[in-house]
Amino acid sequence: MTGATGRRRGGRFTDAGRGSQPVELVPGSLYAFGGTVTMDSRISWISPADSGYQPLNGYLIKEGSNALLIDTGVALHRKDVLEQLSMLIDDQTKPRVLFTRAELDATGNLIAIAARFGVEVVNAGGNVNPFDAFEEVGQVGRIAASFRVERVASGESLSIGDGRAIEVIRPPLRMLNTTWAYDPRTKTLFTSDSFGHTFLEQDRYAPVLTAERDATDYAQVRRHTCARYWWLQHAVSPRLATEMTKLYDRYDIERIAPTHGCVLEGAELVRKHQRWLNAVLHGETGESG
Amino acid sequence: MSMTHPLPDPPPPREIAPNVFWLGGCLQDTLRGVAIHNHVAPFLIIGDDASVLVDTGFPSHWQAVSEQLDSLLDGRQLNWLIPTHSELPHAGNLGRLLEKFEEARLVGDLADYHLYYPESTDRFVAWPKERPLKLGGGYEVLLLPAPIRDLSRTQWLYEASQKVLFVGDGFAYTHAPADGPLGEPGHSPGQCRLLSSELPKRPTPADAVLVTQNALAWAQLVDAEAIRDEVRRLMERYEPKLVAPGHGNVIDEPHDLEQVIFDAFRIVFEEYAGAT
Ligand SMILES: [Fe+2]
Ligand SMILES: [Zn+2]
Repeated sequence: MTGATGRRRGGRFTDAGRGSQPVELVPGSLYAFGGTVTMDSRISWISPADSGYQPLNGYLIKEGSNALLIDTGVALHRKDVLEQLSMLIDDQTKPRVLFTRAELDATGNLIAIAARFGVEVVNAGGNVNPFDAFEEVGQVGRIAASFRVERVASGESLSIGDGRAIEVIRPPLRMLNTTWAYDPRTKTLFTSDSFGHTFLEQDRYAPVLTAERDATDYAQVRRHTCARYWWLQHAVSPRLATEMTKLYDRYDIERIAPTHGCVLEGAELVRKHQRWLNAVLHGETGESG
Repeated sequence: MSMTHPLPDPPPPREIAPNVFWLGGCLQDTLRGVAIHNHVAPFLIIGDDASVLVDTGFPSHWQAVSEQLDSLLDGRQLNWLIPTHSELPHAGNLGRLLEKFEEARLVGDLADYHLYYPESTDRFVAWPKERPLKLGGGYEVLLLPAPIRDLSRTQWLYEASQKVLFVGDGFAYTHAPADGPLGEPGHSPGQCRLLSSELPKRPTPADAVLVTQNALAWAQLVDAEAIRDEVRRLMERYEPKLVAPGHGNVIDEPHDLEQVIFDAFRIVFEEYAGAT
């Protein structure tokens, strides 16, 4: 599972010997940025049964001179994230940021990105809810910074500019208050802490998995999903999987872009992993679909 | 829900047991036109040799929490920081605390913190569950796996000498803001520092439903009876005199509140299963 050898290889920033590079998912339009972390028991959302490296991602959607970041990566990757974004965003562009959750795997570089590029608006899904602490994301670092936090209700679209918009989604599967998003232009579903069950064998930020490279099996999907969603060890309402299927059916999805793990590239691979995740939500313990 | 009110001024800390202090403040919200409060509370335990801060306070409460700590520590260092979990209402002031208290170390289950505070990993101390962390003067803290939680690696804490169980997101419920008129600037602390038995109206399941729905997304999907068994085993083993939630008045009737909280879980679960 080393990823990044799919049909979009030509678009990557290949420059052997250089530091970390962002990954072009759709030329000129959609990029992944971030880095890898060593998989071990120090990370809460994965099972320690696998060893390897997990990519942690933020995403950049570009449209003309507009930029939207979906999550910002972890503080551990701060230097790489700023370097990667500098290759993609010019000094005149003030990116908007959409957070999928108010946790530090998503918000960890907000203040550094704001200091470098200027960020005026941070978007979060749903209504103002003091329990999810989105209004607090500017205050978490050692330096407090203030942003305008604008909420986008589920089902509404968030304009990026120049006619491009993404749809904000409240997923049925969530641990904390969580937002997914769908980009109709690139047919990408951004899934935050769901679909975080893949990883890399090599410690290199190459976070794209294609059908031909996919060596995932059902047990792997199950153990990592249950590490994050610990309550799946109990009997779960069947309504959860039904509602997830309804959500997938509303969109034409060719790519799943999670915050943890590899980008799942191509409709065939997307459907396979959706079936697997639904089997986990149904409580199936053995091999499936 | 929408938070239409500014944060109420945090009331002064209360010493809920000798050298165990209830800090932080409340969020104010409106539910069907009625104002309610919900605590975001860290707790400070001061032993003869060392002190522990359980959780860190809400980021917007930082100024108040910082002043509360200054006055209670009275020149002593803060030694140990133990957030129940890394979520912002519980660990959101960790960076500021590490900066303010140069000797303080993060101790316990360290999951994910190396990704979030990479510059501070030399101040992290992994500590196993149920090994006493001695604070001097008979005070000692045990870390326990949290039965009621959101993030999987959440820990509860038990201070053995005073028999206080710190439960993070567990045993959460809201309370009415004050005895006086609602929304009055600088309103009296009212109910914010009352123990559960001192509240003018006993907490009911309805007081716990809102925060259960909002803070624990799984509550509508999973029958909490299995989790209740884990809670009961913990209570039987440690027999806490006080249960100290992050989001509720401190509980001096643990068994009554256990009933209230799990009634709320049942309401949330059955409402979802019954809805179409
Ligand atoms: Fe929590
Ligand atoms: Zn209050």
